[in-house]
Amino acid sequence: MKILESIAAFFAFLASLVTGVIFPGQSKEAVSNPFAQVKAASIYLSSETSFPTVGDEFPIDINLNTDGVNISAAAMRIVYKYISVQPIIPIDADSEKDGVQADINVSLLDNGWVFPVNEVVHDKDLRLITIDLAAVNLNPEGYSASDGVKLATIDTIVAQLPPKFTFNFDKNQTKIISKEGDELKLQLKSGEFRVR
Amino acid sequence: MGTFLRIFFLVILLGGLVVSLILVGNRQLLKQEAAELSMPVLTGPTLAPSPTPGPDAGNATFTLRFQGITSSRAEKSVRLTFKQGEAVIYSFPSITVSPGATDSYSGKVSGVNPGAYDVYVRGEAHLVRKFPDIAIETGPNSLDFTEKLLLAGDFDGDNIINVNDVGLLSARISAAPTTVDPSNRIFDVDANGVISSSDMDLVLSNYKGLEILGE
Repeated sequence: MKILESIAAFFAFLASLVTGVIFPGQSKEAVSNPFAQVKAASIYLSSETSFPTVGDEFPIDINLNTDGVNISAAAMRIVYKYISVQPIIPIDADSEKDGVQADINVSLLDNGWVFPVNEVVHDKDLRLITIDLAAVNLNPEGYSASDGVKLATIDTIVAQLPPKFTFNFDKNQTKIISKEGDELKLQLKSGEFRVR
Repeated sequence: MGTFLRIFFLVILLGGLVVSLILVGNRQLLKQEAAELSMPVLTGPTLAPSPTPGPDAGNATFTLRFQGITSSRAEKSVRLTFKQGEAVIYSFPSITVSPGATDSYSGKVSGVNPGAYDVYVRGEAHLVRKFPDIAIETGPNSLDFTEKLLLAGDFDGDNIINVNDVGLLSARISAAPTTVDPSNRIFDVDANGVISSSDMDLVLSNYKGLEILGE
């Protein structure tokens, strides 16, 4: 009997410890899921030129798919980091404006789009090309597309041939905003283009 | 002997319970401390008491202008912060400014001890503007902040104009002009009584980069 009592007390002791260590204040933790009510949309890169060679024009398209959700605006930062010699040279799409511009899809202008941010910056010290683009749809009902739509093209000329070109999105600076004003959950597809 | 053993095991059992309760309590305290540490630093209302105004404290009447408001309309409110270096000396979280004769607004603060301050001004949906080396003297002072417009478009109050702010405004714009009420009046950037494309035009005129920072 004494043995049983001692065993019971020992397990009670263990159980009380486990309760304190493993499940402290568990009932008070009501963590909200930040993605519970967000929707999916995507921004992705593509190119009509499959295997560029030196001297070729190499256009990179920036595409948007809202997945059927009405949106009001999108902003994105795309970065291309190279190692040694600059492999591609961005071409300015609008010489009347300062700096280097991406070539916006002019057909979107008739559909209520404006592009307040459009700049391609090459930092030679960091060996980094940064493309900042923001597109705002001014239609009161917003804009929706289930298929991809091209927002703009970064025109470049190939100067050197690395094994591949990889363009990445800066996730902190790449956003799509719904017509209701919410930031949508995004699927970002980096652009990885191989060469011969 | 039997009684002694029962008491002994009872003490062990109670000891375990006490230890577990202490552990639970410590964890809750640690969580509270972590939550307090992760709280953003408030630059708005001063939680700590401002310096007690001395007998020689000054008062200041100031004038300012909001971007897009070309003729004075209804009253608005601004936040004024007086700094010396990085230290916030005074913070006036909500000062009512009244329309003047032209496109300027004026307001008043009091109880500011004499000295040189950098004054930071923020409108309800505007980036912070810095007015450096403002001298406050004993008695009345007149501060003219009209040389630099308060730039509109920071609707979420993070002192940045970005795509989130554009989206917040767009959500208030519909086919028919949206009538202004107390819940949405910060989006009426040009203070013309409706929220419309003219407000968006003003904000987009400032949205020249992915993030436009206030001062």
